[in-house]
Amino acid sequence: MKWLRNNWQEIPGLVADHVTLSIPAIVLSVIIAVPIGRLAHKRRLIGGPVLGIASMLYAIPSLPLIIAILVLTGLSARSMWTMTIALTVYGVALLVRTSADAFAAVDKNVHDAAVAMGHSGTSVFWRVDLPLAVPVLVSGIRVMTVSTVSLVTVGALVGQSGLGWLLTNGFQRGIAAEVATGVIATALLAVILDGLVMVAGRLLTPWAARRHRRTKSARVTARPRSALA
Amino acid sequence: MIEFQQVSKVYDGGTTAVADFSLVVESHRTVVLVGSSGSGKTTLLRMVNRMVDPTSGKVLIDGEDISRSRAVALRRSIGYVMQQGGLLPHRSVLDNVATVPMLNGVSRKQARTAALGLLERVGLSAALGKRYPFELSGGQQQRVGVARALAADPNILLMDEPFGAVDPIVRRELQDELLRLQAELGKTILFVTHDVDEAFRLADEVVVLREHAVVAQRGQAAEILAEPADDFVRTFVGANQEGRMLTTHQVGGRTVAVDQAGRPVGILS
Ligand SMILES: Nc1ncnc2c1ncn2[C@@H]1O[C@H](COP(=O)(O)OP(=O)(O)OP(=O)(O)O)[C@@H](O)[C@H]1O
Ligand SMILES: [Mg+2]
Repeated sequence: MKWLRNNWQEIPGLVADHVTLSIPAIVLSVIIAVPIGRLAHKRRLIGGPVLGIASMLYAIPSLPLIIAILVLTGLSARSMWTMTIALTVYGVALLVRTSADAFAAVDKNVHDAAVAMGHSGTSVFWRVDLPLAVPVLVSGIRVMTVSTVSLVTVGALVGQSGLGWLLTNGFQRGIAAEVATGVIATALLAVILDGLVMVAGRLLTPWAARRHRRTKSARVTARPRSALA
Repeated sequence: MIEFQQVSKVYDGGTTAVADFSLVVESHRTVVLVGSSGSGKTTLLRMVNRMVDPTSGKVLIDGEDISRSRAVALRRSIGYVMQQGGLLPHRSVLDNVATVPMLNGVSRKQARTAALGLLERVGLSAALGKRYPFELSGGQQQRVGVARALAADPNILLMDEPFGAVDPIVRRELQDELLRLQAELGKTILFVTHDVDEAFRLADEVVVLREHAVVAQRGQAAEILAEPADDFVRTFVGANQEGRMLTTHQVGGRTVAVDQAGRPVGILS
């Protein structure tokens, strides 16, 4: 705790760096994974291989991936883009399957009804398929967000600033409090960003919240009746 | 007027859904396609708004081959009601009804005002407009489905088992409502059901389909009941069932109709 008292001023800067590395990767992953997921859902023939490749990408260990990115792109290890690309690869890999599932979960009847009403291909996507996929998408984005925030710590190994630095530095110098601070701060940050994504999802889908409440209250009113019986 | 000219449909997997089907649906009439599950009814209906393109043959609307029209524009000019769950769950009831006019370029405000009128027209209170579809009963949802199909004031209504998922009493109410609306509006209605009673109640003309949408018989309900073309139709319409075979008795100077179980079901006037 003495360490924390003496070094707490460092933490806000590290958190800011951590967030700066996380957010672009999260946003890019969503932008890239959702269309791929939709394609995988629509064209089953290419869908299988695409989902297979996605799972394989997530299985690549992070250091080899970062080195591969350095070699392939010629970026420097200290460039933010090296990390952003690596994190986006994992983010996309993680989110593609959920995206495909999210579109598969859209009621076929509703989709067909929207087509029958005269929505064009693009307007069916933007006004019907995508909004209805949001609840499942959000669950996937939450998982991906938490995963990204924890993966950012790996960046410390190639000299990127962030909460990971507390882990490597604390470990090298044998300061347990510093390592613990790094772990707890990373976890807290993940929880906060996860919560923000959840709230954003709620705001985007007021109808889903109302449906949720409705089924819940139905269950509650059913209880006294069964108690009587 | 809708005209099917020798249409066939073979789906990608090789299933023949429709084999060489021809039919003319005159304007302002209600034609009901009735047939068992898988007989190709939905496929036929969807050929009219180009959600399914026939493998061979043509569909004409008012004499024009629809394969030359733009599918999206065509669909906006045709009302479509589906069995259940066809409402957009993320839009309010009012917005559901207002959607097609808005796709056609009507302003949101105008479309919503018109939608309120339509809700009333199908027997729903305007207060329901603010709800989401899942906050309505099954019967109310189907009424909204009908209102939505009418919203762009189409000449043609396609109805795919619209009342199939509601209980018999509500179904009866909805059928009456449709008959009342049709008397006012005079749309060209192509209606699909596998409920023979529903077909007989609603149709100007009934078309009985067997597998692959082969026409087993067509005509007015009374004709089909009186002279089923073959055993398939006889069994399908239940012409030899208890409820349909009535005998008459004279009671106190009046003629009472009695079913085969001996239950009086009505009086001939
Ligand atoms: N998209 C499709 N791809 C492949 N086969 C299909 C498709 N849609 C329907 N079929 C097949 O075509 C046949 C006719 O289907 P259709 O949906 O037109 O029947 P239906 O008379 O509407 O049946 P139901 O009363 O059960 O709704 C069935 O054998 C069905 O399995
Ligand atoms: Mg059908």
